[in-house]
Amino acid sequence: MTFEYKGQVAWIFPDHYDVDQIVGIQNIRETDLDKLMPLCMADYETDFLSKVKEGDILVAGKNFGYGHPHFQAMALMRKIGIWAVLAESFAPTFYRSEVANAMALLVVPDITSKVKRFDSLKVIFDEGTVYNEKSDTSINGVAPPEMVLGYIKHNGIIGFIKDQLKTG
Amino acid sequence: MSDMTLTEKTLARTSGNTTVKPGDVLWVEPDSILMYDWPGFTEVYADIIKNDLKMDKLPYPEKFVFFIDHLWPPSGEKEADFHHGTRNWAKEQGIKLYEGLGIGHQVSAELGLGVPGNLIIHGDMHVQVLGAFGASTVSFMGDFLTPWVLGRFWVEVPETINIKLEGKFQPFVGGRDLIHKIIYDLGPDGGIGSVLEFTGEGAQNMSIDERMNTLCQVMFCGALNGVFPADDLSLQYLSERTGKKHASVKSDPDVQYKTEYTYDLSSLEPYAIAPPNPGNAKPLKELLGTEINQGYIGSCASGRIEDIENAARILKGKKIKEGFRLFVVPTSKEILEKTMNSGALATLVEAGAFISSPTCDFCYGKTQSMSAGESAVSTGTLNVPGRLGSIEADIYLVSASCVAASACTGKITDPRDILS
Repeated sequence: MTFEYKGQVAWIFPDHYDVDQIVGIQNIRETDLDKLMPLCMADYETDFLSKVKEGDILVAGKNFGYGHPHFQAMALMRKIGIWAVLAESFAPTFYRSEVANAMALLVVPDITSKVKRFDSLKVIFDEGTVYNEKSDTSINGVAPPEMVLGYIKHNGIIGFIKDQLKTG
Repeated sequence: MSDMTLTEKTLARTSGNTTVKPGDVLWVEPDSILMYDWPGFTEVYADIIKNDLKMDKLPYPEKFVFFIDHLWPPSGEKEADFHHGTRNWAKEQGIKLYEGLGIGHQVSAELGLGVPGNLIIHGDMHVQVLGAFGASTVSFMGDFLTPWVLGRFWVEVPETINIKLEGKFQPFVGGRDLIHKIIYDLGPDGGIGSVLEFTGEGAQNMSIDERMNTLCQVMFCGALNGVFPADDLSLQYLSERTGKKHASVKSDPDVQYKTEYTYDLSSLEPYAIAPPNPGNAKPLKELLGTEINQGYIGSCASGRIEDIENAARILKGKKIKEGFRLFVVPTSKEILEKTMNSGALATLVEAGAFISSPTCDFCYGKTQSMSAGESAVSTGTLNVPGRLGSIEADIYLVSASCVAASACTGKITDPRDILS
């Protein structure tokens, strides 16, 4: 089974990015996603939500998810329709938590220097490859472990666990 | 058989393999599953287990230990009801639950849960303190249903970085300064996905309190966890708690570490974490004189007996600067009792400190909030804007000794200068 993601680069985050900043750290005690949605990326671009489309892809530098990340930022991204993040590396606990939510987190060395915002990408997640349609170049990432593919295949942790309980 | 690190031995045992190596992806079975209750997580997972997965009972309740340490004491009916729900669920599932004993990560150590070579998981990252006893820890945040329900989870065997320690700390320099210095040297991702193993004579010279203070923050250089191989000191601590004899698990002598860093504790200078994030480590001397309004000694990263005793030594016979607010929150009931009996808390009260019974609530700003433009020195875990009230308030993470010294002057102060 192949997991493909096609979309434009919605945003490029810097190294060591604390994802709580997506909603603003001052708002992190709010857990209602509908209340948080208007705040999503508002500190960076007031019309971000009108520029982003379902299927879009986030790109980041090293150590994405650094700090003490809370769930709201990526939950909002999924609500918008963003299910893939390409980063040069991920903070370990963030990675474990978000792949369990069926977020396709792919390690791609030097990705921030190989794509620009709004480039159209095609990601073959299970192979760890990225194709930049704009520059007509292929970029090699690191294929994820089989267990991670299990979470993606079953749309997250509940489906994954149900499958595991069934198959043993 | 190839040489293995302590962590590799633990992951080999818990995955049913004879040997493992970095990069292997395995299913492993944790020895202990720890958690605190927090709205949006625990009650949601209890609901999923019952209604989505149709499971009445968790399969391994004997592995679970729950703590009520946040939202403690509850303020308002909503929080009280939430804890009530957790108590009922734990009872229904046959899960051990502790409340009122203090911050779970410290109480876990006091209960003797940090067994050498054990694999311990928690939804919170600071479970890493149990590495002080030679246990390996993994934190989950959003993936805990997998081990809760299946009794296993996947892990990629990490590489291990050897942090070789020599010498002994000078007075009023300790575990917080060491981890801040390591973050300064390695940067926010220098240890990414790796284990920091603390070895050498200097590691054995460190007290249990200092080991835990160091380990609590290792994730801020990107590390998966940290570990001190069990020695006589930690084995004695453990046997006093469990009434059992435990054996150390150690890395093989010729094992290949990913890399090695050496620190001489006797020449270590105080280090701090400056705003706005936990990767912004700096020598304390670069921050001296910064005006400060508030201080906090507590959290799972400090607030231990030695922290409070050191603060009391610094503040004995002195008063905190007029207008300065100093909050001292012993990390557990046991620490509260011991520092009460030693007279350290009385000294701090006489100096003008506000003392609270143990709770997590000071660390994440549920209480002790600050206004815009104010600054704090804190032994808490995080310094991101908004952690203690206003996003325009600055938080400097330092040792308990530095908090006490700064409370005297109202400025960031080197604790060694106060007594000299």
